[in-house]
Amino acid sequence: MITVDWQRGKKIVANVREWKEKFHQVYEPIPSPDGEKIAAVVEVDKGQCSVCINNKTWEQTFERISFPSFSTSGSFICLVLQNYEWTLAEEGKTLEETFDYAWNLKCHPKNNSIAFNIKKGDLYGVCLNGKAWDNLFFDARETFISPNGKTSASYVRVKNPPLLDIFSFKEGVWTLAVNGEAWPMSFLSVYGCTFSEGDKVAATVRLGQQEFSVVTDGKIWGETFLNAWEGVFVDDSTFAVPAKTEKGWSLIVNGKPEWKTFTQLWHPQVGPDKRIAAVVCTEFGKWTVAVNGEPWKITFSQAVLPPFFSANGKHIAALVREKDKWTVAIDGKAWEKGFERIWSPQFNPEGNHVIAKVEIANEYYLAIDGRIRAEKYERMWEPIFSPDGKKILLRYVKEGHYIREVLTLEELL
Amino acid sequence: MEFVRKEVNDIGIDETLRRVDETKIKKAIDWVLQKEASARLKVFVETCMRCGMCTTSCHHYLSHDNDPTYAPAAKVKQTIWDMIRKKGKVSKEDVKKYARIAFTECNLCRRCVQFCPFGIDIAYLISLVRRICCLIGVVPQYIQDQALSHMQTTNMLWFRQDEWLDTVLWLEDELRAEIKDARIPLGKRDAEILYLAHGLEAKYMTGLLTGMAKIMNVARVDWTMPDMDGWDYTNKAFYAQDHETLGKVVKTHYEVAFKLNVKRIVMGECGHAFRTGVYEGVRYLGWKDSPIPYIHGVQFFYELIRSGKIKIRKKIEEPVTVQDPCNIVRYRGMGKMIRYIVKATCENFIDINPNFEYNYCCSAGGGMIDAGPPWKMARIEGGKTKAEQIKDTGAKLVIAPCHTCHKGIEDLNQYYKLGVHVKFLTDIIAETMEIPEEMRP
Ligand code: SF4
Ligand code: SF4
Repeated sequence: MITVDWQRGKKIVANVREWKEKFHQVYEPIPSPDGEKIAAVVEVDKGQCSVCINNKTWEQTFERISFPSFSTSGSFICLVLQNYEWTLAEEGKTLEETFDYAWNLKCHPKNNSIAFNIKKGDLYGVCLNGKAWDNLFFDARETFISPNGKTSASYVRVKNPPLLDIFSFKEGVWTLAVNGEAWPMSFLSVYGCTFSEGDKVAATVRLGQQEFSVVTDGKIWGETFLNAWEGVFVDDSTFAVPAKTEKGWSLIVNGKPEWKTFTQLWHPQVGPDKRIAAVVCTEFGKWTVAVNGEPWKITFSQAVLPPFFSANGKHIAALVREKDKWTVAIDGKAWEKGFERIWSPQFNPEGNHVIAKVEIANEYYLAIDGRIRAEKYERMWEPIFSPDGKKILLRYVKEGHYIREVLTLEELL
Repeated sequence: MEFVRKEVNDIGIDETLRRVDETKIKKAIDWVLQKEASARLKVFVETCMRCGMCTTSCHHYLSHDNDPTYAPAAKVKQTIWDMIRKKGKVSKEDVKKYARIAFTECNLCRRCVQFCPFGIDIAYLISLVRRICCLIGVVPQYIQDQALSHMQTTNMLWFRQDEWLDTVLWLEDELRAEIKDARIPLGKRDAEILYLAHGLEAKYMTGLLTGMAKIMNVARVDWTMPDMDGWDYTNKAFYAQDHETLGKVVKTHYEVAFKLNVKRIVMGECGHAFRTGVYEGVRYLGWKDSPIPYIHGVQFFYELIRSGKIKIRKKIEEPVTVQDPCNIVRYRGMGKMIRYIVKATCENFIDINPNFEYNYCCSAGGGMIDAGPPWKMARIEGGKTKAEQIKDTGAKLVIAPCHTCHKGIEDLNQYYKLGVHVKFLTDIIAETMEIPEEMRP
């Protein structure tokens, strides 16, 4: 893992405005999580792409570069095309194996495993840490990596009936493949693939028009529901899924409804103390967060995004939208001020402060607990709390310069 | 009133009926009428006076030489009333008739609603019939195929993810021959606008997507398209009244927008997708309105031209008329915006009569064109009124800002020999706009 310099102070990393003169074309810049690097896909010449990081450009060029990002370990990764073959490039070095197509590049935020979807000939699968699945399928959509970093999964199509053969398609052609092994049964659709901490895997499946269920490690629940969304592991042996019964939407835990019913319920999240928070619609047009089945008193008319917990599990927040403005609601209370946009708000470890990047009139600011810091930026990325919560890392562009700056929480309060 | 029709075979209806039993049929009827239908059903059924004021409002009735079995109230009488009267104990032959009426003789266009003194929403009642058919599994084969695709892929045509990504890359290459360093950004976070395309634009009608990309580049819009599922705005599950899939598709569109943190979603020229994206799908999920702005191509072009972001170089000279798509004009009042754009880009505009909310449906809408080849003549015959309406204008070019209207009118043109050609606003703007010197290759 990377060690971040949490010394208070400002560092000008690169003049990114100059890149526009240096290269034929510059794509959207991407800062590293520690803020020390700024990278962008660039066209060094027409149709010749490369990557520029802190003013240094990779030697190799490619016809195309897609899905660029920094990995968890801080390396720059992307998928590259050369001579009709796609592969992974990490810090300028490509994998030996190439593919007819490669996409959906993912890096696990904890274990740094890297995976992406691949196409070989007419068949599809996943390549995890440089090794492609042995079994490939008629289609593969999405890439998932397990917490131990050794397992990958994808939704795959296991049957290939002729076009318009609706009766065969109605029997179900989709399932989940884990490390290239497909589950034994197939479905009308499969979604919401998720792993437990102990590497169990589950997904929501559709069996019929109004028949939805859950499969964990290849075993289907006995219960079916009128509809269901993506679920979540509470622990290795407990799975919770929002599903629709004749009474309405409820949170179903291991097959049994545990919550009272709502007009809508989705995106359940599990806190460190195993409390469950989810987005609910208490009545048509009224949205809020429910914690262990109890909705907050306050509701929002336009949207509530998936809730998230503070690291100590004590506090819960969500992005909410009211009167065409986004704001943050924490434990049932919303910030007074609304913004055009807000980017992934973040708790400090104690959970008593929330920071976020916000937008007002096409300019970007740091917001803390609903207040705006005067300084504005032409471009800015999500601020990050230090592990002890005392510092905040800002990454932004000012007058063409990409800058990393560390502030103390104290000076912001 | 005799229901006389030529026999049409559709395995989605006929073969399914062979495979189901009457218990399943009764269960579906009871479920929808008792559990899903709103209080409106009862009010509508009890209020209809059979006064006949809606009769001549329907293009199917007019196009079939005033055959009373095509009158709006008659379609309800022959379907939902029949089920209520028989207490759900209906035969397979009955269901076959219901399906035929609901899927191939009503476009859910809501023209008739405007003529009913009680505001009875025939389209709503017919959509209940479709929902019942859907729960039985009786859906025209071609619509069913698309709904099955939406269930997993979100798109209408079983497109794989790499096919989508690859298509956009080569379209970008092609566009660069016209616009210097043009880009079609994919999965760009924080863009102002998330643009969604029609499924067909990724395969058979790529020129239209390139046209939109050209407009975006020239207007210097900060935009992106999804690099994940959810790029296709169509929602054919709506035609089947497969609510479960319909909701999932709309949810995916908004979640892609939240993930990329855009300000607005803009879609192209399509009627049903706008109806599902801002109304049917949104409300099914529990939202009163779209959670973030969801803009139709017409609204977007209106904005670009009004604000001067797009300037017109040379107007089209031949005589032009328009099609007012039901889902964006009757439902959402975009008729004036359409005319503003047309007048800004065309010299010689002849309005159609009747127009705006009283315009006739193209007879392809509401899933009739999606029901595929078996039902082509049903919509062509039902579209006679539309064909005559177009002919009367004397225009040579019909602008149809909706995929369904566009294809529907092309087919009417061929069959009734109207001698016109049909274009989207995207085509017209991409063709007539000024491309600044510095953008030329
Ligand atoms: S096609 Fe339109 S006018 Fe005719 S019955 Fe259906 S909704 Fe009414
Ligand atoms: S106009 Fe209204 S009341 Fe009269 S027949 Fe038609 S639906 Fe019934």
